[in-house]
Amino acid sequence: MKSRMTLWAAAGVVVMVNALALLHAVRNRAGGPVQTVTLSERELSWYNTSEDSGVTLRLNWLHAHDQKPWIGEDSIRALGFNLDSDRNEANPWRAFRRQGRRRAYVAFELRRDGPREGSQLAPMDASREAASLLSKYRGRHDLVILPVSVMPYLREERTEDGRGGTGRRVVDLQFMDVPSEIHVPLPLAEQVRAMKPGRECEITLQYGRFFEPWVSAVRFR
Amino acid sequence: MNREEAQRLADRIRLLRADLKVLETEGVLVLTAEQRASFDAWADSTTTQLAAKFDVDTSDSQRHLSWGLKIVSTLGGLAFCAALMLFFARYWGYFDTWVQVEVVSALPLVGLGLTEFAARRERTLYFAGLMALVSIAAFVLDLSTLGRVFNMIPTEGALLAWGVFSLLLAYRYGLRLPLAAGLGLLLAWAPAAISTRMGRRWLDFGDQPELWALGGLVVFAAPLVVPHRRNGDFPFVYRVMGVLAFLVPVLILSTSGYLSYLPGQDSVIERCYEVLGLASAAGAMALGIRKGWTETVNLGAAFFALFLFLRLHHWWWDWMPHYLFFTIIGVIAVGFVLVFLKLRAKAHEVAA
Repeated sequence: MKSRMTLWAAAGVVVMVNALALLHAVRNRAGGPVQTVTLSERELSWYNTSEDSGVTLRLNWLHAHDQKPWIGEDSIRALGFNLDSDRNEANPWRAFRRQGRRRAYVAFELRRDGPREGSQLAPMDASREAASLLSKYRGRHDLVILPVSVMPYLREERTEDGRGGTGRRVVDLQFMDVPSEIHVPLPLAEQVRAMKPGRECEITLQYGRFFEPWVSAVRFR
Repeated sequence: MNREEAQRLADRIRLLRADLKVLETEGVLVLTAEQRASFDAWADSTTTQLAAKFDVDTSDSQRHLSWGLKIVSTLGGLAFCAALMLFFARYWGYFDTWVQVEVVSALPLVGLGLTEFAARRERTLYFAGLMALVSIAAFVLDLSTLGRVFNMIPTEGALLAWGVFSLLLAYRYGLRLPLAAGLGLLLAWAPAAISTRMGRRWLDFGDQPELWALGGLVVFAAPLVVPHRRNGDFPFVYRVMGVLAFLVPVLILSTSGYLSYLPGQDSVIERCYEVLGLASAAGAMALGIRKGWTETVNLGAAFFALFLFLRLHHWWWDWMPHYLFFTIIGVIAVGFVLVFLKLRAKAHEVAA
């Protein structure tokens, strides 16, 4: 058998990494929440499965099919993308692919003019720096800023009634890796479990300095 | 002497016994009774010592059983890993946060303790190998659960932690499967970390084939720089992981040039990587033949055939009748067989 150094090193890796993870969690919440937002059961859904006893809420957002892109080309350029290189690409799905997906922050707001059903949370702004969005929208409690991955893409501009295309191509911004799963610890998890389909509720989320959330309150209407 | 060297010696003794029997039967070499007795005593004593100290296989049936044991212990380890994860998922939601944290944090240390216990009690390390897999799974569960409980945004750091842990287990107990897992995790971590530094999405590490290929070269070269005197069977794993980590990305780039960091047209990049793939695969075969690395020769040959097939497919598939295309592929294969037979005969003459 080899010396015990590797054994202690393996144990040390486990202890150190766990300590770092817990320290990260503490630092996220240190100094109080950076953002607070109250969402309804339309924005936060929960599915009960027998194989998983944990309660995890899923953040839903509005996938709008508006005529215009949700963000302007200047803002997309400010994210670091070159929009001139691939505009004439024959296959719109190949455009901008070489530039890859980049990390950014997207502000989602609760729309008052959204559809009657489904989530009211819609993207409305994006930036490379979280600080600029936090400063721009300071004091708003109907908005949440989340870290995502973004990539521009070409799509056909839709007509005003949304049923057809105009034949013109526009640049829009797709986003992914939205931190959409939110674990609910005890005792709040018991309240979520008690939630029946169709029952209206409000769930308050607080976000720390690393944009990692925790559930602070669950209220039924 | 390590276990691998002991097994090779036991195999040579077994083959020598069988060869002596054949030579005696054919009247080529007949030992006197005294010589036979002396040889048998030496062979029996050496084999017994090797079996006692290293638990090597001393017969064909033992070798086959050992293979069976390796497969069964690996499958058993994987089954226990799945059971651990699913069991935890079923019941964790009924505990407070700090109980969850304490349980998952302790699991990999418990696994490590059980692996050490098993390794001290059983020399063949089948149980230790099984527990090592479970320990790695426990560490994956540990960090995944902490991330979930505190809603942490996933980062590539977990790949580094899991990779280092797997490598430490591999080197502690001389286990090849944790070594392969560790190398795979570190090969994934490197492009993910570089992507993050470049402001890109770390989960796109699979879309950075050039970084994977560089990692593959590093892994392949590692045993050349760091000799493995104790774990003589580890360089094999490094070579297999290195060849795969290099040639698979080159294969991907030969069909998806848009994934490359290189400027230029996609089609030009794809042709360049096709040529590189053919040259590297041929180089792997040549190096493997020279050094006696069977796995490098086999992987090189497989990828050479794949790259050649892709090139011919690009040239001919669209306009040539498909039956003719496959006929030509078969004829080319026969041509290669004739060339290799000639090379083999030449190598035989040189050796003689």
